[in-house]
This record gives sequence, structure tokens and C-alpha cells, in this order.
Amino acid sequence: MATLDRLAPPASPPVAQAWNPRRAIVAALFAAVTIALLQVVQSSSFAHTGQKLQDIEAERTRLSAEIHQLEAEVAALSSLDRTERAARDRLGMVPAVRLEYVSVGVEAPAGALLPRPLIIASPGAQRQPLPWWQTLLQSLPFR
Amino acid sequence: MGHGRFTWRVALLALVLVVSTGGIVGRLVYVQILHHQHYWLEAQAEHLDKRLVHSTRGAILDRNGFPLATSVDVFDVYIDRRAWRDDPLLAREVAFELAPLINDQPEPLFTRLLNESGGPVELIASSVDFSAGQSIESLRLAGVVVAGGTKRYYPEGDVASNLLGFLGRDHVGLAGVEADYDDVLGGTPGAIYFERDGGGRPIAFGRSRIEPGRPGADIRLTIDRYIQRLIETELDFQIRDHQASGGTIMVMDPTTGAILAMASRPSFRLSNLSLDNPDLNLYRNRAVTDLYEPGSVLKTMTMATALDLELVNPNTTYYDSGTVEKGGYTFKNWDFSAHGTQTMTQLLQKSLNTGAIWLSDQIGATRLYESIHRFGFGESTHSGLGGEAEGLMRTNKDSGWYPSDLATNSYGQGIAATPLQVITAFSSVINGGNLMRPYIVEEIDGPDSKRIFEPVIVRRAISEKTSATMVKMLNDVVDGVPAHRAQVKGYHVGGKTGTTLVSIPTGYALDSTLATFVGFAPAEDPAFVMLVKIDQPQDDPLGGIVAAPVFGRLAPQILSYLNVRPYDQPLVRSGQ
Repeated sequence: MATLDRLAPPASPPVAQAWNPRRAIVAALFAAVTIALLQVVQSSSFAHTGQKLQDIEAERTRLSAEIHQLEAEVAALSSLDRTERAARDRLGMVPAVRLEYVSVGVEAPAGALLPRPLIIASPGAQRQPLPWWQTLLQSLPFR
Repeated sequence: MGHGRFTWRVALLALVLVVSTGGIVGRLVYVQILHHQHYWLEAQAEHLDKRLVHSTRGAILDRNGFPLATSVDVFDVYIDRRAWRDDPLLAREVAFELAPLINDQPEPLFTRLLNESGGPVELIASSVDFSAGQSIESLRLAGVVVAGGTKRYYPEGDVASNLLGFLGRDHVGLAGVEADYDDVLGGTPGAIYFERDGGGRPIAFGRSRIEPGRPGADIRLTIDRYIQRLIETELDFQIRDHQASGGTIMVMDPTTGAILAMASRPSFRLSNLSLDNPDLNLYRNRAVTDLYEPGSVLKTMTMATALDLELVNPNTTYYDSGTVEKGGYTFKNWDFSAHGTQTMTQLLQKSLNTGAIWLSDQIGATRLYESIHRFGFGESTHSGLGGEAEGLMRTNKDSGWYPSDLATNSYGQGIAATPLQVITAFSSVINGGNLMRPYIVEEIDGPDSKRIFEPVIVRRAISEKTSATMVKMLNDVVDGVPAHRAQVKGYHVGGKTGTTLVSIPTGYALDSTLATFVGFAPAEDPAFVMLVKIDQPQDDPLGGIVAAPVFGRLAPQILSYLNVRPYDQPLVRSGQ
């Protein structure tokens, strides 16, 4: 019996996975879908931000109008006509016939006796504190 | 070879090609390089649009900060009838939803919506409240469009109408402070730049840029709303009471020249303003635009001049024979009286024309006219109010001047001045001798700057000593005359009456006068000067009868308001 003395074929090195067009197509599709989705997400986010901006602007306009309205109401309430009507009709007051001057040991208030409704901010009005990250940014040596 | 021959045909073709290519290249260089900026801008303009956004107009405040004019946001409501042209039921639906928001009735509004006579698009309601306008906008009614805007609001009603003025439909000031300070009050409009489509509509998500406008500045006047209202109420009453054709009352701080109140009639009502059929005569501020002859009030300046030149003193006497001959004319006293020997104080008390003429003789024409100029007559006061007249005055250096003019000028005739000029000159007589520049704006408070206006001394008109003497003499004119109608209980006051005939193109209207009084209080330290002028009173022609009592009625109220204590008021100390 003849013995075949042949060398066993050398173990073939692990063959690199063959190029698979299916996988490539899937990958390409996946990339395309991802890019498309990103586009959609970005677009949607952009639209959302735009809508939010419009809402904020509308709110600002409304608040600004409200401030003007309130200022006008304050002015109307402090008008001389209304004050006189209230004094006469509601409080039953009449113009003074004789004036009495009483000297008291207290200094007279300086300036106008009544506040200037439109141009002087209320002294109690406090500024909003800055957010922590702004404070942090401001504390940096470079800005 | 015949194929390679450079024939004239080939040469011609090559030349045409070279020339045409050169032309194209040249044109490209012209468009792309030389006029790049121009074409770039044109291209931008093709697809970019701009919408102006009006800024909020500043408020006009009184000296204590109370608003006299301010702005509120409103909406104008438009309808587009094309939306329901084929669907009347839709119009009915719109009418029923819209009517309560614009204070209308549904049925009449429905009829209006269908009425095509106003064209397809029509303004259906203007200056609708902001909240109502927002409700209309949120309803998104078919064929209904709202446009935002502002409306001027006057919390004090018709107070200071002439002074404040008003705005036109385009929100530009047309009269008064609104017009004089329009650039300051109006601010700068902002703009929105956006990309547009072929139809001019903004492209959603297109590029856009907002250029914010600058809101208008608030203007704080020197006017005090309380004093202003007081004088306007009194002026209206006096005009009715004397059946006068008009009048002016002004109150000024003599030390600074700040105008505390200024009213003139006839006038218009801000609450009843019609821009459709305007009567322009009602809109001007007569206190600064209209001239009149100051009459005997000017004797004050003549006397101050003589005192300043040390030609006379309060006790100097002259002889009043009742008449004076001058330049071929005979001049008499206003009441045709003769008083004999009179002091300078008596001259003012009795307002003697002969005395003023005697003084002008002592002073001389040149010196008198120079002095009258120093008091600000014949020149603008530069108060900042629009339409201010300079006045009319003919001096001995002008052609057509006669010596008789000096006589009439010495007692305030033949000279024309505005009420503002007269009160400013009078202030300089009693404030220590300085001619102050009258001013109406105290502060302009803008979004990023503030301007404060300080009193300005124009020049010295008379010495401080003369001024002090004049205060004493003018106090004697009022308090030294029993039952003078300008007297105020508890206060020392001073002043001078004036009565002049109304000048007309042919001379003077003999049956018609201007009754005036200029006074101040308290004499010790004048807190205010007031000018009262009642035009053509029907019941009595004299300033002392018609105008002086107005001062007498207003002065105590103003003094009390300004916290000026009466000289004879015993103090009650707390705890006593």
C-alpha cells in the first residue's frame, strides 16, 4: 500500500472576510437614514426654537403693553381730576377757607412729595441674581 | 497646403471671436469687480425685505414726574371682504364674534361687513384696547387682520393742550412740545430684515435679522400740573365772566426762568381733537406766538432804567399837569387826570403816562432803547418753544422813527412783545437784575442718557440795588394802594397793571382793550411771577379791574401749594 507521503497542506491563514456587498449596502443605508434623521431632528429643533422665540417675543410684547397700560392706569388714578372728585364726593372734603401752619420738629421731605411713577424705579426692586454659571464665568481671569 | 492657409475669412472669424470674448470678459470685469458692491446690493434687495418697527414714544411729564402725555399699545382692526364674498354665513359668524370685542352690535356690523362700498379692505375699528386686540388675533377670524400701534393718552385730560400739542396719524408731532421735541420723543424705529419669496412673503426659516429701535426719551417739563390746572380753570372762568375773546396766564419762577404754568385761550381740547377739519388758529401757543403792546407794564422797565442810571430815586418828584406835548402830539394820562407834584412811586401807583414820558426825557432815546433791548424786547427768548415771535420795536436808529415814538414807547405803546417776553423782562426787574432764559424742559431722560437743563443767565439787565428798589416800589404799587384788587391777605405782593387798546391794521380799536397785570409774591423773596392778560373784556376795559383780581385769587393758592408761609401767620409749635 503505497503511502502517500505528502505533506499536509499548510493550515490556511484565516481568510479575511470576503467583501460583502449586502453589508455595504446596509451600512450605506444606515448612514443615509442617520444623516436624514439628523437633518429632520435638526430641522425640527430649529423649528421648535423658532416657535419658542416667537412665543417669547410675543410674551415680551404683551408684557411691555401691559406695563404701558399699568403706567397709564397709575397716571389716571393719580390725576388731579380724580383726586379732587374723590376728595369732594367720597371723603366729603371742601377747599380750605383758612390755612393753619403748624411747625413740627421734623425735617421736611426733600424733593417731590409723591413718587415719579414713570421714571424712578421702586427702591425695593431687587436685581435678579445671576445664574451660577455666569458667576463662574465672571470669576475667570480671562473673558 | 491648402488646408493650413490662413485666409482672410479665418482671420475675420478669429477677430470676431476675440472681440466678442473680450467684450464678455470686459463686461464681467465691469459687473463682478468694478461694480461688485452695487450689483451685490441689488441682488440682496431682490430677495431681502425690511419691515419698520415703530419705537415706543417717550412720555411728557410735569416737573414732579406726573405724566401729562404717555403712550399705550392698541390695535387697528381691518377686514378683507374677499374672505366671505361667496359665503355670507361666514360673514355673520365673524360679525357675531368680532362685535363684542370692538364695542359694536353684531347686526349692524354684519351689514357693514357685507357692504362693499368701502372697497375689499377696510379699517373697521381703530385704537382697540391691547387685550381686546390680542383676543381678536387669537380668534384667527377669516378676513380679519389686526395691526399693532400706539395711542397717545393724556391722564390730566385737556390740561396744557396748547403747550403739549398733538400727534398726526403717522405719530409725528404736529404742534406744541410734541412737535418741538419730536426727534427726542419719537426715538428711532427698529427694523426686521428677512428673506422673502417671489410673492414678497417671508420665507419660513429663511435668514432674518432684527435691528432693534431706540425708544423715545421721556421729557420732564418745568410745568407743574397743579398750578397749570389752577390757572386754566381760572382763565376759562374769567373769559366767560367778562365775555372776553381770549386770554393768557403764565407763571414763572423769577430766579431760574422756569415756566411753572402757561395757558392761553382760545385753544383746542385734546379730548375732542379733530384732525379731519382742523382750525389752525386754535393750535398755536399764543403765549409765545402772538404779539401785543404791553402798555403800562412797560413803565416798570422805564422806571428801572431811570433808577439804574441814578437819574431818579423813589422819592424824586415831577409835576404832572395832565398833558405833555411831544413831536406835535399831545399826550394825556389814561384817565385824563392831572395830579400835580408826584413822586416816582406815585407815578407807578397811578400809572401816569406823563410821568413815563418825563422819565424818557431824562433817560434819552438811545439809553432807553438800549435798556429795553437789555430786558429782552425785540429778540427771541430762545425758550425752545416753536413759533416764538421776536417782537417789534422801532428805535431812534431806525428809519421812520419820530420823537413822539419815544413818548408812546415809554409807557408801552408802539412796542409789541409776546407775553413770554414781558414776564421774562418783569422777572429780571425783581430777581436781582438778571435776564434769565425762560425754559420749559427740565430734563430729557433717554434710554441711555440723561440731559438736565440748568437755568441760564442771558445778561444783566439792571443792578441788584436797582432791582431791590423796584421790588419795594412795585410792592407799594399794590399794597400801598387801598383796596388794590391784587392784594393777598398775609403776603406782601407787588405788580403793575396795564391796559392797552387793541391794535388793528388801521390803528387802534377804541372800544376794545387788553387788560393785563403782572405781579409777584411774596415781595421778600419772590417765589413766582404771574402774568394775566384778558383780551377784549366786555364789561370793563381796565387791567386793574379785570386782570388784577385774577392774580389776587390765584396767588394765595399757589403760595400755599409752594409752601410759602404768610408773613403774619403765627406759628403753632408742636407740643404747645
